[in-house]
Formats: sequence, structure tokens, C-alpha cells
Amino acid sequence: MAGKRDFFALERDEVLGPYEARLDAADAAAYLDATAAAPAGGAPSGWLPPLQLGALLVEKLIDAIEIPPGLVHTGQSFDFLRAVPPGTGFSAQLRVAQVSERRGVRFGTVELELRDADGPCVRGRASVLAPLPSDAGTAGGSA
Amino acid sequence: MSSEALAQPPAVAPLTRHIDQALVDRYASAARDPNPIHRDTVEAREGSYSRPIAHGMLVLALVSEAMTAAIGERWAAGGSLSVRWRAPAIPPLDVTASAEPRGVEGGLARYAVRCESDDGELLLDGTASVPLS
Repeated sequence: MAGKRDFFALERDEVLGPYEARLDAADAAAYLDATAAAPAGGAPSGWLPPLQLGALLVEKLIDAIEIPPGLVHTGQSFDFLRAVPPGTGFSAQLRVAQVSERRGVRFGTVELELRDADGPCVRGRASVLAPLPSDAGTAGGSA
Repeated sequence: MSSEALAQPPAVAPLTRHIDQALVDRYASAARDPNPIHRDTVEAREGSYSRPIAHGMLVLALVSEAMTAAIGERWAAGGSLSVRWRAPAIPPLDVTASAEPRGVEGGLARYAVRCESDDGELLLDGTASVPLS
């Protein structure tokens, strides 16, 4: 993967990715173990836990952006479009939908999309904020 | 009266899970989230809460698990979720996820979702929807 982007330098409409990934049955088992999910509510026989696909998108977001101190993931949405079986290869793409700065804090909204060979599987939006570095002062504009 | 007005969203049973540091560590590994604020690190101890906090996505996983248990594959193939995190989940704690039916609109069963800690603190809230058929 190319170098990480500086969160404070992200620009609206900037596209990050695509990033390739794959989730196998062993990944699903590890995710279920890590969320303490009961089998009935976790990965049934034929498809990956839907929020594991969302977590994969968040992983790619973390990979793509240099996380500054104090960054907070404030909000998240997901649309689960299709059930996807283990062993699927994915392509994740991110787009900066909005960035703004107010009272010493930078806000960002990033659109997330996960596709497999048949098209989009999950779409979402992640909202984050981080305090501006102290030497940046208090900004008032928006991008 | 329309058929939608008569339709009721499927009930979703509340789900409670214990989140401790061992689970948070496993989630950090499984989700490949290296953020040190979730582990017993200097960054976590010197952070806002003076100790590690659980991943927001780990807390949110309980909502998705509850929806999956109630609705099955329709959740994975048509479900939508939108939440805001309201407070950090500081382990160890018990978290309860719930989804309260809010009616049917546009062919979608709609829910108000939330997660609360065992002492009643709101950790996240938002909405969910799923196709009726």
C-alpha cells in the first residue's frame, strides 16, 4: 500500500484505494471469537457476518490515513447490500465526502465501498474528528 | 388502512455481552486495528480516560449480531445501520444492545438501536432498517 495520507491534509472528493482484501472462513471464525458472538447470531454456514465486512472497510480506512493523536470515530453507517460467502476477494475504495474545521477541531466524513467480483456488497460512511495540531492554531474555514 | 400500517417489524431480542480487555485485544487482532488507545499502552494510560477503551466497532457488533439473530440473511442482504457513539466503553463492562421497533415505511422495518453499559450509560444510539421481504 502507498504511504498513508495525513488526516489534516485530506481534501474533499479525494479517492483512496482501491485496496484489495480477502476474508476466509478462518477470518470469520476469528471475528466471531473476537466479538464473543454466539453461533446463532454470528456467521451462519453460508455467509460472512455483515459487520465484519464493515470492519474490513474501517480497517482499510485506518490503513489509508495516518491516525493523529486524539482522533475519534464519532459515527458510522452501513448498507449491507448482499450476503457474501467466506473465501471472497474484495476491493475497498474510500472517498472523502466532507472535511471541515471548527474551533480547533477537524471533522471528516469518508464514504466507504466494498465490492466483490459481482459488484458492491457494502456501502457506508464514517465520521471522525481530531483536534488540530497545536501549532495549526484555530481554523475557521471549511474545505 | 394500508398493509404497511398493519405490518409489524420482527421483534429483536436484546443481547448482552461481557467486554473485557482480553476480548478487546482479540478484536484488535481480528480487525487489524493497531490503535494503541485500545490496548494497555502508554498512549491509553496517558489518554483522556487513563486506560484502554473498547473499539466502537466491537460495541456496534452486538447490534449487528442481535439483528442477525432475529432476521437472518435479510439483515446481511438489505439491512442498514446508522449510529453515533456517545460514550467510550471502558472494560470490563457488560454491554446490552437493543433494537426497538419503530414501524414500517417504504417496505422497510425500522428500529431505534442502542447500546448501554451495565450502569445504564448510553454508549451508542441510532437507527436500523431491514426489508420486510
